[in-house]
Amino acid sequence: MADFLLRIGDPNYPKSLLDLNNPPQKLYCRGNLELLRKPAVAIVGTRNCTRYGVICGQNISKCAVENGFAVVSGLAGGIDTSAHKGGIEATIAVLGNGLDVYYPISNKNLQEQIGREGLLITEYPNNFHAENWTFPARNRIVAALSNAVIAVEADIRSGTMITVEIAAEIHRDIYAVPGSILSNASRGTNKLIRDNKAKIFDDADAFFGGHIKKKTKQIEPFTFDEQKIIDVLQSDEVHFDELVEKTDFGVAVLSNLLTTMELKDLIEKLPGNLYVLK
Amino acid sequence: MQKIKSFGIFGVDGYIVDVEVDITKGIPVYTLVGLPDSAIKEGKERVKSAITNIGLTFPNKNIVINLAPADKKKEGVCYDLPIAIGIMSSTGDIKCNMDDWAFIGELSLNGDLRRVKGVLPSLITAVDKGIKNAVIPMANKEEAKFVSGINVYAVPNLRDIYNMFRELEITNGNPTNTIYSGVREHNKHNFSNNPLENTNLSMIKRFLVSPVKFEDIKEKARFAVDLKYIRGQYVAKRALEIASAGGHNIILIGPPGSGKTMLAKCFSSILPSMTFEESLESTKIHSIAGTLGVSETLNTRLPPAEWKKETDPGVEPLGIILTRPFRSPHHTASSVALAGGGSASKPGEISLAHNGVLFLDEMPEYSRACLELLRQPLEDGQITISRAAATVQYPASFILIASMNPCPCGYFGSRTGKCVCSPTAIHKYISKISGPLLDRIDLHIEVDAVTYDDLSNTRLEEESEVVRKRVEAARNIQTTRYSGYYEHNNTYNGIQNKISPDDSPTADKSNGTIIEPSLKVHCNAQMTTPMMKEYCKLSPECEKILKNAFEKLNLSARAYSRILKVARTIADLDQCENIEPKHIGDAITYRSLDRFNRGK
Repeated sequence: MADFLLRIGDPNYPKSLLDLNNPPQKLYCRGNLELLRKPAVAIVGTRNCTRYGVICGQNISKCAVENGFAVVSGLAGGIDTSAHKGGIEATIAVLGNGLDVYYPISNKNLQEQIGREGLLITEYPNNFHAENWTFPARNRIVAALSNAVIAVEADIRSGTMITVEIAAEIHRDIYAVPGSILSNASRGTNKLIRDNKAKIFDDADAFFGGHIKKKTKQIEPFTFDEQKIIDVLQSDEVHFDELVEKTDFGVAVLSNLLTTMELKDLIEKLPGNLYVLK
Repeated sequence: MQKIKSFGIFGVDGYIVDVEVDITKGIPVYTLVGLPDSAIKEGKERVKSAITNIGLTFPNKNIVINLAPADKKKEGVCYDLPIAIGIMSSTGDIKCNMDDWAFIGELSLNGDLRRVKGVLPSLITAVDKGIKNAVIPMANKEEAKFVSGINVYAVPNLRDIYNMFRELEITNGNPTNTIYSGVREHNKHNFSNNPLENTNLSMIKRFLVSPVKFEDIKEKARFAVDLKYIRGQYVAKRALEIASAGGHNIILIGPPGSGKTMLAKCFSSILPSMTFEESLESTKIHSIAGTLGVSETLNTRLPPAEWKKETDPGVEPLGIILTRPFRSPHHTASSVALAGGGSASKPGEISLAHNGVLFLDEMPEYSRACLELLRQPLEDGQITISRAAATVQYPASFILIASMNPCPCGYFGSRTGKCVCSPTAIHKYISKISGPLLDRIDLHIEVDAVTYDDLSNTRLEEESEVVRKRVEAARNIQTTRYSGYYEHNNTYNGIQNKISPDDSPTADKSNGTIIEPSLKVHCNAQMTTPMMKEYCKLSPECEKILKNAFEKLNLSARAYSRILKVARTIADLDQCENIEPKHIGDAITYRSLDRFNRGK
């Protein structure tokens, strides 16, 4: 693992950080420094996210990476994690602690993987543990490193809103993914849109240029049984037991069939034994 | 000096206790030695009153009683009767040779014999030791029905024992003119008549417990709950079937009101029926714990309404445990209550669940210590309890059924409710169950509350009976398979439980040697690694599916052997010799806790 220390003035030190009033004096980096030269988007959001947020985060991130962008986020749980996972090879994680401190511990593997394949950045030395003030400080780096900030899901008072404010101060483009008006996790993003502080982010392909053709998946024709399940799943998330009733398959047959379909990437299993189309 | 045989209990086995009674002239003192507990010491007053109240005289002499072996602590009240018999023999009221006799029982002041604990293991020890006759309280009669090789007399009152022995004296061709000697004139009002006039001469026959064949009552096992009463919940029912067929532990995850408890309760109705050995083992443990009957009325064997039809009310209907025990200790249970032990050294809940089911409702609510102590029994089928006084092993081979909510509020992943828990809270909740414990649970099932449609559905649900037939077929395959394994590999050196009176055990149990829990593998869940290599061979096609699943579905490494074992059981249910791809596909469905990084 290659570790680098970038000071202000270093040729690799990202110029965009100088837009800040208080740019970090030192940057400890681990991983692929080339990523700093790519155009970057920040994909940020709440830790208390919904499935909708996770899917948006991953898809947007995936699309960005496919189109040559680097994705910047804060390696927190929830949306940040989904953003990093969308494209590890072009992801930049900005930490609120030293490079060898794992926080949150549940993201230890992800942090190590980004250190190898993507890029970890922090202004704190090794062994520095995160404090509650380091996260807003980290957020300013997230905002400054990127050309645009996309808020996927956020409540009204949240770290994401801090990132957005800083981004506005240093004139970054701000986008928000609209969400359900019933969901707490989308209250902040919906408010950004209502207050005209952010533009609506609704089409990742168009936003990132979309010049890369979508990979057309080799789709095997569905079997009769699979079609039957797909028909049931058209409407909504469906519980296993409901599938049993609606398809008249035996449990053994159905459970094997569902696993097979999952392995074929046709459907997805959610916690609670629910199934959805992919 | 008179020597009367009785029994003490160590672990789950009895040992012979010699009650020695010596009556000499001197100052009237009653001395009891041989490490008795206070219940035994207090027995003095009961014995005295009982003997007086049946019309005999309590000797006004120096009485010394020793409970040998003198270095073992004796507990319980079962020595009242042998002490009384010893005194009666010493005074000459009973003249029979007591070498072939053993006695257990608590005395009531009027001479009635009261129910005591541990009769079954005591009788089994008696058979081992070649004792020919045993006298037990009437209330314990049912326990004795299944012990053969010994004459057991279930007697209601001390006076009946006295009469019985008088009768024996006559039938032995030893009628003596001292027949009334025991009945003192001043006590005659208690004895309205000559004792022998009152009884028919076949007292021995009257009290003799006639043995019952296990096969004859086997069919009487009943269940108050039945799978057919559960609507919907197809995947959970199927998982229970698999768990039952392969002896797998299972965890049910679901929101409140989703029927987890109901499902678990039905589980014992689809378990394979007990063999005689298993029945006896379980009855033995429950006999020691004194829960015989108590647990079963709570359990589901017979609806109370049917009791009276079967036998007299108030009498244990069958006396032996026919349905596998279902124990559900509350989550406030202490670790000693679960594991057993304590100063009185009693079997705990997990031993009471031996050969049956231990149901832990709301598993994360149990204390960490309680959950972690399950690890040894889940692995070995027994629990070793070490205390300063002694080390005891109790059998504890059970199927664990756990239930839990998916998150603190209970509604994560549910169709019906909206979860309000933060991911951290969910993660914290789930991680209360440690990895090593989760490692021992083969099946994870997520259940959801049934919808109104399910409830109003008139579709006929399968009966437990039908499911049990399939389970038993699958178990038979396994039994054949694993007995074949031992014949081939000759690696089996476990000592089998020898509690059946028919094959007399060799182990010397009087020294407190404990039954070795059978180390033999009976079902798929107990398979060892070399066995898995032999019986869970995968075709290249199966390998491919499994590999694919591991990469795509985020399965953890510990899932691998679990999936193989479960797939083996599914194949057995399917009557297939080899594990086929469809079995693997089915088995993967039951690993949901491995699948999702819940709350991350």
